[in-house]
Order: sequence, then C-alpha cells, then structure tokens
Amino acid sequence: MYHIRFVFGLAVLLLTACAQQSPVPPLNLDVPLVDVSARFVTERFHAGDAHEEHDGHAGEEGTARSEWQFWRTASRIEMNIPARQTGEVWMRDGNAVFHQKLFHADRKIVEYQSADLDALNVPMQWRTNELMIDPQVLQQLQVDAENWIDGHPALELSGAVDGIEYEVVWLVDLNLPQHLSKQDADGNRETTRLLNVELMAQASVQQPDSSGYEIIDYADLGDRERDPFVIRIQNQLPGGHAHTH
Amino acid sequence: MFTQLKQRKSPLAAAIGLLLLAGNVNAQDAVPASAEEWFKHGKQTVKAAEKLKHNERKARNVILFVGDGMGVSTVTAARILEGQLREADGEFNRLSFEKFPYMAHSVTASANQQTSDSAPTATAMVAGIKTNDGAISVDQTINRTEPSADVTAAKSVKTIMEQAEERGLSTGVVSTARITHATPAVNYAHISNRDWENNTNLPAGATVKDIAAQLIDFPYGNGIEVVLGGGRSNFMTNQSVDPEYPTRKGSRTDGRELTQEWVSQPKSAYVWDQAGFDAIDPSSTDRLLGLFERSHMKYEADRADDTAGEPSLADMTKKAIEMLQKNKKGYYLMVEAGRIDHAHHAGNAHRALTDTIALSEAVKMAQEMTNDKDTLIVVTADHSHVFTLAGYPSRGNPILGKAAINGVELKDSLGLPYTTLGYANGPGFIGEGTRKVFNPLTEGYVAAEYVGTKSRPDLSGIDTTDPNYLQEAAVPMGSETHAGEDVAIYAAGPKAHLFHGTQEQHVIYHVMSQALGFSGSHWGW
Repeated sequence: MYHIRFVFGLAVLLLTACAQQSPVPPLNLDVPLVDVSARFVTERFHAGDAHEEHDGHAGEEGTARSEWQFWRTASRIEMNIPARQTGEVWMRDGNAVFHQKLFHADRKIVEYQSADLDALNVPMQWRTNELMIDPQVLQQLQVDAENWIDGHPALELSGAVDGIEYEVVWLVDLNLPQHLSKQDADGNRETTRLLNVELMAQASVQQPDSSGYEIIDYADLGDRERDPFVIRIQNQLPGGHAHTH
Repeated sequence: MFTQLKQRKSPLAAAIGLLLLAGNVNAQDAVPASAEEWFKHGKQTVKAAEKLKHNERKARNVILFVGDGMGVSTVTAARILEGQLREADGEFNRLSFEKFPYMAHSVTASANQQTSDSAPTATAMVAGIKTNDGAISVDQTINRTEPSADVTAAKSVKTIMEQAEERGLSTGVVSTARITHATPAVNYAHISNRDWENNTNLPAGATVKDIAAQLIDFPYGNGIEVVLGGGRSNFMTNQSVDPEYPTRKGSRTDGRELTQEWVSQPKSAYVWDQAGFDAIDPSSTDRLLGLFERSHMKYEADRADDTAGEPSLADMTKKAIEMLQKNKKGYYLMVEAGRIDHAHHAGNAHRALTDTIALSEAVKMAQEMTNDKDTLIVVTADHSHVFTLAGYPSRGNPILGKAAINGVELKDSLGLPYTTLGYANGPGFIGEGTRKVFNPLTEGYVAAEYVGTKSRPDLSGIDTTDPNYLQEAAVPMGSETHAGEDVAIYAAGPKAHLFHGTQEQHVIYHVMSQALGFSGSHWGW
C-alpha cells in the first residue's frame, strides 16, 4: 500500500477534513494539473509467445518489476528509474517540445527535437504523459465506485478500449492514478501502483541534477559511430531495435 | 564529364544567350515523347557540349556548397521529387546544380576510413589533405583526443578560408547544422575531435580551444565576416537564458559569452530569429553572426513550425553573398545543407530529399547573384548514405510511394508491396517483431505489432508518402549509416573544367585554390 506524506498548512487540512465528508467530484481533466512528485512501481507480466520477442528475450514468460519516480509540472515531466540509473524528461517551451533520455551513470543526455520525434513516430502526447494514461481512454471507462483514499477523492473505473482491459483507481483532486492496470488479449498485463505522492513544493525527493550533463543531439548519433557510449546505448533509444535472430 | 549546358551570365549576356539557345533550351526542357525526339534531344545535348569553353580566368570568388550526405541516389530521388512537386516529369527534371557544365566523381575514403565521417571529408575539401576520422583540419598523425594546443597547432593545416582572409578576401560560412558541426568547423577550427564543440566537451586539462571559441577567436585577416547557422547553446554560458526557449540555457561553463564578444567588434551584429535576420542591412553591417537554434536548425520540412522563425538556406545564402560581395577583392563562402545527413541517419527520406531541394534553391540563388566569369561554384557532398531506389516502377510513379507499374503495386517474393526508396540499414521497419516502440511509462521498449503474418510489414494500408514515414531497412540499426561509394562534384565558373573523371576528394581544395590564384602550401612548397 502506498503512504501519503503531505505537509499541508492548517487551511489545507481543514479543507481536506471537510472534503472527506463530501461526495466525490466527477472526473475533470480540463483543469490545470497539480504539480506533484510521486513514486510508482510497475509490474509487467509477459504471457509468453514463441513468435515474439520482449526486451530481447523471445518467448519467455514472467514478471518484471521496477520502481520509478515521477515529477510533474506544467512545463516539465520527468521520470527516473534509480535501479537503471536512467530517466526521461519531456519539456515544453512555448510551441516547442523537447524529449531527453538521461543516462545518469554516464552524465550524458540524448535530446530529441520535435521533428526527430515526428520522424520516429514517437507521439508527443503531453497530456497522456502527465496523466500517465490517454485522457480519451480514461474518459471512456465506466465508473464502478467512488471512494476516499487518504483524504483524496477517488474513482474506481474499468472497461475495455481498443482490445485492452483497463482497471483504474483515479485520484480526482491530483488527476493521477493510484492504480492503473492494462491487459491485452494475449494475457500480457501491466500494473502500476502509486507508492507515494507529495506536492512538488514539499517534495522530499528532488529530480536528479542533470544540469552539468553533456547533451547529445539525437541527430548526431549517426556521426558518433565510434563513440563507446553511443554504441552502448543505441539500442535503448526510440527507433532502435532488439533484433536477436 | 559534363551535363547540360547552362552557364551563369550577366543579365545582358544571359538574354542574348537565351535568344541564341532558345531552340536548344526548349528542346532540353521538353520531355521527348518519341524515338525521334529522344534521338534529337541526345544530339542537341552533344551539340551544346561542343560549345563549352574552359574558363581559364582567375576566380575572384569561390562558393563551395556541401550537401552533407548527399550521395548520387539522394540527388536522383530529390530531382524526381522536385519535379513531381511541380507536377513536371521528375525523371527529366534537374536540380539547379545538375545543370552545371562540369562534373567529377569524388573518392571519399579518408586516411583511415573506407567509409568516412564528415570531419576528414570536409577537411579534405577545404585543406587539401586526407586525414583521419573526427579530425578537424589537422593532419593524420594527430591523436584522436589530443588535448594540447601546441601539438594541435603543430599538426594543423591551413584552410582555404584562412588563406583567403590572409589575402584580404572576405569569408563566410553558412550551415543548417550547428555552425560548430564538423563540416562548417573545418573552415576555421583546428582540433583533433569533432565533438569538442564547446568548452564542457573538452577533457580535463586540455589547452586546445573548443570549436566555438576558435570561431570567435579566428586570428586570420580581419576575421570571418558572415556566420549563419545553428548551435546557439555553444556560444552562451550556462547562466544565460536562451532567447527562443526561455526554459533552456547555454552550455559554456567558462564564462565566455561568445555572442557578446562577437558584437563587441565594430559594425557587427548578432541575430537569432527571422525578424532579426530580416532587419540586417548588408550595406551597414560588416560582420554578421546568426544562430537560429540551440542545436541544429529545423529541417526544411519543419521550418515553418519554428517558434521564432528561421531563414531558409537560400535566404542565408543570399544575405551572405550580399555582405561578402562588398569586398572588391572577392570572397570565399561555404554553404552546407547539413541536415540531409541527419534525415538519412533517421531513415527518413522525405526530410532528406526536401533538404536537398532546399540546397538546390540555395545554389540557384547564388547563381543568380554571381557571374560565372569570376565566380567558381562547386557543389558536392562529403559522403554518401546507404540509400537506394529500387524495383521497376513506372516513369512518373511517386518517388516516395510504393513501387508500381501504371498504378499496380509491385510485390516482393512474399507477395507484399514495397517502396521505391529504402535503406540498407537503419531504424526503418525491418521485420516481424524487431522494431521497438517507445513506452514512456515504463522505460521499456516493446516490439512493434505488425499487421499481417509475414516477415515484412504489409504496407498495403500504409501511406509511405507521409513525411514521417521511415523507409524500410535491411539491417536493423539505431541510426542509418554513411556509405562508401563516390559522390559527385558539380562545378561552374573559372577552372571548373579541372574537375574531371574520378578524383580524390582533397582535389576539390586544390581546384578552388588554383582558381583563386593561391600558390604555395602549408609546408612551404
């Protein structure tokens, strides 16, 4: 179970106490999102298929588990996987969107411009990234129950969209999932659970400081054919391959 | 070798020439529709070639255009696309520089590479020698990561830009890539590692200056007059907020604000957006630095989407010539279409070809602004890419589409359609379950789902003319690679006829140098 450690002021506490007596408000994604710092765990169960590859291991059945951190503001979304010492950042600056892959152990960043992402068919779905689920999918799910979880109004939702079965517990005030489960027709399942959430202003865990990292433009990877770092990480990048035949 | 005759002339001479050659031009432009017309066309082409006269004059100006990664297959595909975009016969179409009278093959192997990167190939073009991978205008004896300024100086080779400045000519460098990227950098910098673009890239204890600093500290003549391109962050400190993207800052940690240093000189200007660029009056500005992106400038296909606006390669070429031609002694200018290479690396033919067409427009602009009696224009590539045109599509079949005869799609041995354009390696579709897709939630990269059950994707329902379509690649690689075959050299103007046959790439420098009347060598002979 997750543990929430807000350090709210007196006014916020009073509001929360009042809110706990109130009905759960409806889903509303058309509001400015609260800046948050959160920690999640994701488990992926791969049903196994002799004709498929998954993370370089063809046909293996099993569960992979990883804990990761998440920071969300209006202009920046960052994810960090401490165990892998890697992370991802989406930045919004006016009409421009930048995406970065962070390699903390190497103190290097690979940065993508909008056109790179277009060419690689990487969708720039800012809303999906900050909500962690496609808002159109979320709005198609059926509300099964209403709840209050540690002072937060929550909706339990479920349903199938495009052949994927969803189960979601949604914290309405934070617009963040407390539980997000997806399963496809082959039995592959991905479950993400919230472990901890704080307001960004009171976050106890800060984003890794990447200000001194070397930034490598994605477009330059092809000209760094002898760079040991580039050779090592090429296949972890969008557009790369996990070919094992 | 030569292509169709079309030389630049003064307006009067051009008008007379057009009158004289009217019949010929018409014949050249119209697509032959019968055996007789094809035969006649061939004969007229030879007749025009017979009128070619070598221009033995000394060049006052030299403009070197480089299409980074613009192999012959890229030129052919771009020629077809440019024609088809105008609803003309793409196969009969010619890009502006393909109409130049002289051509040669350029052997691009570097001193230590069969298939080269841009640093030694560009060095060959502007310094007259072959060198090793990653080397920026230093010779092949240097260590790839040489940190010493003294050692680097001892192994440096003087470039044509430096020699031009020494002789009182004006100089400029224009690129759609970062202006500190390998191809533009070879003109003004000397360094063993092309990646040392700002001071944070240098190894600890290095005394050699980074590439951006070398541009600003350029010691020859009265300095470079025109610098236009991308790479703004390499010229700003990490305390300076980027003017176009306020959430971003510069890269330098040595406290040097290089753009400020540039404008500290008299009659110097620095611009970073379209409005600033447009406001520059060449008659009252002697030195212009334009840095239009933090990193590379936009692809031509995406330029309209830029927040602050960016000039096209043709716009930048025009402004550069307007400034440089103020010097009656003449000028040297390099113009690079730097992103043809990047689009190919990404496996994206559309952007590679549209950037090639943008280069053609820039060359056309230069032709219109100069006279081939005194200006040598050279158009070439530093290296090729593993890009190909395949199958047996009908003449007129959309070049970005699927190979088809009279609209009926051709099929491979699996019974699946395929595109005319493709890559030997790279990030494009390759086979069942092998392409990774991006999953931002989990850091995982999962196998793409293919429609169909064959070992190639079924493209029947795919619009391969979409600008974001990645052409298929045979060998899966995160980034498509350069290719080692020769590239073409197209030339017009004084001494252009010295390009002939299959020549080593460093001969380009020697023809330009000969045309400008530069004698002697770095070594004193």
